[in-house]
Amino acid sequence: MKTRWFLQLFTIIGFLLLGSGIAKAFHIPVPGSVIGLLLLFVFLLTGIIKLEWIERASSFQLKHLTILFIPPITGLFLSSAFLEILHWNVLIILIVSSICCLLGTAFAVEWIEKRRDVK
Amino acid sequence: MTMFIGNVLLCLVTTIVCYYICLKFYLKYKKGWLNPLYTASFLLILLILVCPIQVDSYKEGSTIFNYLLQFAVVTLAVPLYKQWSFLKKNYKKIFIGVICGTSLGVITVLGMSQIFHLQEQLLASLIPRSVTLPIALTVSSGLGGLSSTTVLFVVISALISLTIGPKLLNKLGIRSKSAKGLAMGTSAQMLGATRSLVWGEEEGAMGSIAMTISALFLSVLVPVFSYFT
Repeated sequence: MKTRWFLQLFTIIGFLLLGSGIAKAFHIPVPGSVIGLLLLFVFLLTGIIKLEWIERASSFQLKHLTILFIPPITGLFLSSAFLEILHWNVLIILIVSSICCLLGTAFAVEWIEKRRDVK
Repeated sequence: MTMFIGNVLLCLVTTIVCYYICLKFYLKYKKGWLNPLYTASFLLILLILVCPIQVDSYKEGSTIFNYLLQFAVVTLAVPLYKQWSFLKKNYKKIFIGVICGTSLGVITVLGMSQIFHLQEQLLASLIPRSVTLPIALTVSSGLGGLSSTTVLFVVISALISLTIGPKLLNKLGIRSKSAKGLAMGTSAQMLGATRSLVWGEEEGAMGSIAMTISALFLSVLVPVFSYFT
């Protein structure tokens, strides 16, 4: 059981390394981890990799995703630079762009659905 | 070298212990504000300030988490695969909605940063603010942004969308289930996907798909775009 768990981890690490290697070798500007994601997705779809082979390791990772964000947040508060960063203009940008993102998606989807209904 | 390994171990152990304690509390009382993201960070800050731990050695040790983050990005393929049939059935509205929303968000950031004359490093941390954290951090470090600033922007953006999003969508008369789910997932990623699950199953599925697709879209768009300009 233990070895299986490690095998699952190594499969995912293998895809990460493969993705980074491809990104470096072909000078693709996309992050290597994203290429690894797409590769793993394609391999899952074609059935070369079975979901059961990696499911335990990946669900463990996704369940505890939160822990990865704790060190950056801690680092931010310890550096005390966050008061300098959070000027009013940055806050305005954050608010306005969040609303634009939200409404852009919502209206685009509604538009498509309405168009389909007319047809 | 031994110093570095020591720092990595120190960082890993303190972070995991804090996370574990806070997770237990969160699972026991099930309150939203007890989310380990806030409580564990708070506990960790206290620990570092009270105990004789050097701030710099903690920060040096936390580089290990960058590798774990890349690992997490790869595992996002699994939820995407599980939702494949749902995605195939609704691909048109998902792609158009997510691409419109994400690009509009980036365009407003770019436009307003011109108006306010923002520093380039700050801008680099602002651009990926709408997508899920592991990918946002990868994109921002690729652009030369600071990871700690990016985390702050991502969390604040998600909280803004989460607090005003549902009310705003309601006021503007958006009734469609997919529109609500996709909008929340695109703008508030993980938090939005969880929120849209409250509306119903279809909204929730749309929310989590929107989270992955918008992150993928941005992570491909931004580097390619900056490569050509």
